[in-house]
Amino acid sequence: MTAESQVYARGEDRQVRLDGAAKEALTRTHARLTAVAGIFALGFLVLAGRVVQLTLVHDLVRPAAPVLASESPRPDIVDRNGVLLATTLHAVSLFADSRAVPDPRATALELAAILPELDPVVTEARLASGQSFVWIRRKLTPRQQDAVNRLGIPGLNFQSEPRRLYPQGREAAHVLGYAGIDNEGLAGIEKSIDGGAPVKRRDSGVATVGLSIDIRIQHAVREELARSVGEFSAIGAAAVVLDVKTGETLALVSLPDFDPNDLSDSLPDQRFNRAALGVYEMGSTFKAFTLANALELGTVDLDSGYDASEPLHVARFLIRDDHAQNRWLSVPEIFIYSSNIGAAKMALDIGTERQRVFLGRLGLLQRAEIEIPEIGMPLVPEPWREINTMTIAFGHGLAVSPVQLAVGFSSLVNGGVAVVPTLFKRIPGEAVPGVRVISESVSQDMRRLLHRAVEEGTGKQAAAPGYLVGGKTGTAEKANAGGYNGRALISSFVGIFPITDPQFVVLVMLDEPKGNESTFNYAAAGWNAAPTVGRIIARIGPMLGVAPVDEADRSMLAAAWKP
Amino acid sequence: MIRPVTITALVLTAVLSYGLYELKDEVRGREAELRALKDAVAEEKESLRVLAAEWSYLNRPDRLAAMAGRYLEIVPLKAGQVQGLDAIPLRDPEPTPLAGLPAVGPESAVGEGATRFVGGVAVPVHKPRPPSPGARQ
Repeated sequence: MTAESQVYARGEDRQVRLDGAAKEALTRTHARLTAVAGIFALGFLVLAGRVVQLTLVHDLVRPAAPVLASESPRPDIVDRNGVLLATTLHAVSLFADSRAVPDPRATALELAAILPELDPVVTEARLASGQSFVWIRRKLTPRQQDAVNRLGIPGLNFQSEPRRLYPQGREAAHVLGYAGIDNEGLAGIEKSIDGGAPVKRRDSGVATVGLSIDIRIQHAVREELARSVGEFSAIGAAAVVLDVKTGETLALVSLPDFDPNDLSDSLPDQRFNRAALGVYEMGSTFKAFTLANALELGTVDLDSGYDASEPLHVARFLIRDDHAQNRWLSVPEIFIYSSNIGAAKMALDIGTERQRVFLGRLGLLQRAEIEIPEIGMPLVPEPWREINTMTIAFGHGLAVSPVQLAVGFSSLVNGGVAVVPTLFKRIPGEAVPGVRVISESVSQDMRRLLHRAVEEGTGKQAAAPGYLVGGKTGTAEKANAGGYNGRALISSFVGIFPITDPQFVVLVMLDEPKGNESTFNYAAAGWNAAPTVGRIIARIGPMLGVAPVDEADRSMLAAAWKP
Repeated sequence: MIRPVTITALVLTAVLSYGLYELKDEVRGREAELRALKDAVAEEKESLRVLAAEWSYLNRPDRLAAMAGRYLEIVPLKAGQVQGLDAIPLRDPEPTPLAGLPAVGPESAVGEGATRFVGGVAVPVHKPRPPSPGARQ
């Protein structure tokens, strides 16, 4: 200790004063010490504050690692009753760090025993490749994962991946569509979801999309349709069930179909949606539109008629009747016996422009507004000449999709208000938008005539026990490069039930049905599509809660047709 | 003068460090617990999804039809089996006994093969025997 500092230490009591160089040095040292001590104190304060912040506040600043990785990126799809149609589960994929696998050959053989699709030779090559990451197999089942785990071979690892699953398999394949390996929607509703479909969140936090499809109806329709395809050796078929008031699609079937769980073995023809994407000349079913149009405009009434005794020559075309009566036919007879000549003459009185406007308002000249990407553009004649007007009157020269046809019929029979079809479930009681296309009374007349077409006309086989069915057959020759092919037919039937107070439209279309012994080799719609609709109505009627009636009871009909 | 301050500071530092350590340790423990719970919740949710998918898979209409055909004597409902409520005669408030017969209560009026209404669904009182396997479709 120096003398100076001792003097300083005691100086407090004695009030020693130093002057000159000594005092100056002392003051400077003091100031320096204070400054250094201050800096240190500040540093420690900062450190202390940081410690408190890190230990106590850090949770608020930076939340803990995300745990809810299982939240599915795609919403579930359910039917109108909440039955699960599509969901996302976690599947594990097996990969290997080939540098860590001790014996590639033995491992490959053991893996092939668990995963039969695996080729041991390829697997062995992969395991011996020396790469740190090689896929062995994507998306294993839990059982397979367990078995691989039990092998206890080092270098084999799992990675969790979302996997789209369709528990109902083929049942609603064309409606649902499918998602790709990276979980992106590629077709059907799955694709519409990516484009922003109405997604609801359930209480459990799971996002769902509620469809208007009823899987029970869908199944019944698909089964009956498949039966008819087999029976008549058709190359394909489509069926649509619509609610005539709300436009909700209860079933939409296209055959052949595919399994969205396993796309690898499906052909483009199986994935083609005949019900919405395919457009076909539908034949005589279009006479219903011609008739409604004429009745609405007042160019005919139910008592007038046309001479259908002679085939019609227009330009180089010849219009003949398939079920020729060769006489004057009243308007109801033209419809019931499906007279092409009568319908063509009726359309001439309507006129080209008025026909075009009417069909446009029924939605037959634009794409159907249904919520899947696979929607066919109708083939509209351009220019629309008088001959087109006449052929369109009986369903040739204008190709539309089956969905559009079903929608058009719904608008005719539901009281005359254009229906907007949808694949999403509407809220019960929700106001359905729609503009009037025909008057209430014309709609009533149409119901009556559609019922007579089933009772007396070409659609007799569509009758279903317990239900009053109305409807119209349509048989069209398929157009090909050189004109029409008399052997390849599109046969269709649009059925409405109960016809006294229409609730549902059932459309069946068969692509190239063949005649067989039970149909006396006829391939017309009345022999194949009509009975299919009859069977479908008999099956789905009780499911839909439509009260059955005694169809032989004439008094009830008389009461229903009262104006 | 300087000694008590130093001692106080040291004690305070020790106490605070320990307190802070304890707090931090507890927070860490709680965090681990939270993470475990969240993991468990996620796992349960995932199993719920699996079960929901399995339920839907097992309830496929074609499977149910096959099972019903094998184990139940039930055939698809026909239109003729459905009746409205008004088709059922109301109970006679005062049944008139027939001469020579004991009084019959209204319950026995429901005979064999009649249809009962349970929750709006028509249920046959006796299971109808399917006429032949071919009729089941």
